[in-house]
Amino acid sequence: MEEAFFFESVGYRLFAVAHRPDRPAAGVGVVVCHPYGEEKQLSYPVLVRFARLLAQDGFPVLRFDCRGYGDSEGVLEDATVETQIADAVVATRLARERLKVDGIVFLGLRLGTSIAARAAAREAAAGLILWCPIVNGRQYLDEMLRKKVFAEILAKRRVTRQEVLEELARESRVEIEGNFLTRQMSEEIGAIDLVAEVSTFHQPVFVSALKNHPNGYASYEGLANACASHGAPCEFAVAGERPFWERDAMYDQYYPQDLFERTRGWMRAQPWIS
Amino acid sequence: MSVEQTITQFIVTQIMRGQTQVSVGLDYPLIEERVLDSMDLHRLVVFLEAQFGILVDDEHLLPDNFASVRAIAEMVTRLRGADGS
Repeated sequence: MEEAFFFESVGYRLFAVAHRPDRPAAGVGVVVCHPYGEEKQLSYPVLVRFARLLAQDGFPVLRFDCRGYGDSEGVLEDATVETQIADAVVATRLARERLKVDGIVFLGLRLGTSIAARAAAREAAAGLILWCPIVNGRQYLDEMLRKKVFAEILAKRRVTRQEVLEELARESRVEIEGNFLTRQMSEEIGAIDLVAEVSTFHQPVFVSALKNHPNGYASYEGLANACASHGAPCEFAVAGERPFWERDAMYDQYYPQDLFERTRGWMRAQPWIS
Repeated sequence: MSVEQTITQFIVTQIMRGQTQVSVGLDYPLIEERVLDSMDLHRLVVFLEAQFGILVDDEHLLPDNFASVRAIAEMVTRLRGADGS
């Protein structure tokens, strides 16, 4: 059964959907932390489908839109990494009540992995699923700035990343692919160090990266090793053919079935299933 | 496979995904004909860097360098030469 509703987080009404299984398999539920900006909209079908699959497997799921996203109040410029963590924490407390679960597993995608990791540490979560994580925030921010440069190239104009950064400092925001990236958000994204963020988390972790990753897997393996080195059992999976947070994949209705199956298998194999 | 063929194959298979109502020749105007959007350019540059072991820094992110397969290949060749590869 699916129930859509609003809840309040620090003065904002946030939209959420609870997916309830017919027969709960365990006392844990899953809270989904969506990615940033356009990636959130484009990955929406995949996250909805996966939430339904988890519910079929007996795991209740809470999906929600952070302030400034989707059907929640506010505009994207209201959102920072910190506000998204705060929203995730409120959503988690709500999930425990509404879904009647003791343990929470956070599922994050892209920027949502950093939100999930920090919310998991604050909320003493039972597990953490990191799909295609942003391991290095500086690198991710650089990709975003490059997208702005590429958009200018298509308009046959030349701009450098330094000039985009100067515009960001001067105007406090810059438009990238139809969304405004604020200076505060850019600073918080640039400071993301996921290896450090998982360092206080000791429960089971699942990390995934797409197949044929052009830059290899060293950063993901480093993340998985960091989890394992401080006692968090960690599974690293290479799954998913295409970046399902991009336009082409959504238009093609691409779903990463192998990623779904690996993650479902991991969920079923954890100690919360007795 | 030549640099030009490698780039063409990537554009046809990964960006156009086989939807080839047009034939992408060496001088086909990729930007003017809207073959590439900003996300595609990002993917293309990531591919070029990984495939050819080059760094496409800001000074090379110019409209003329992405105007056609030939222009992209020439940029790659210049960057490979600059790296001594």
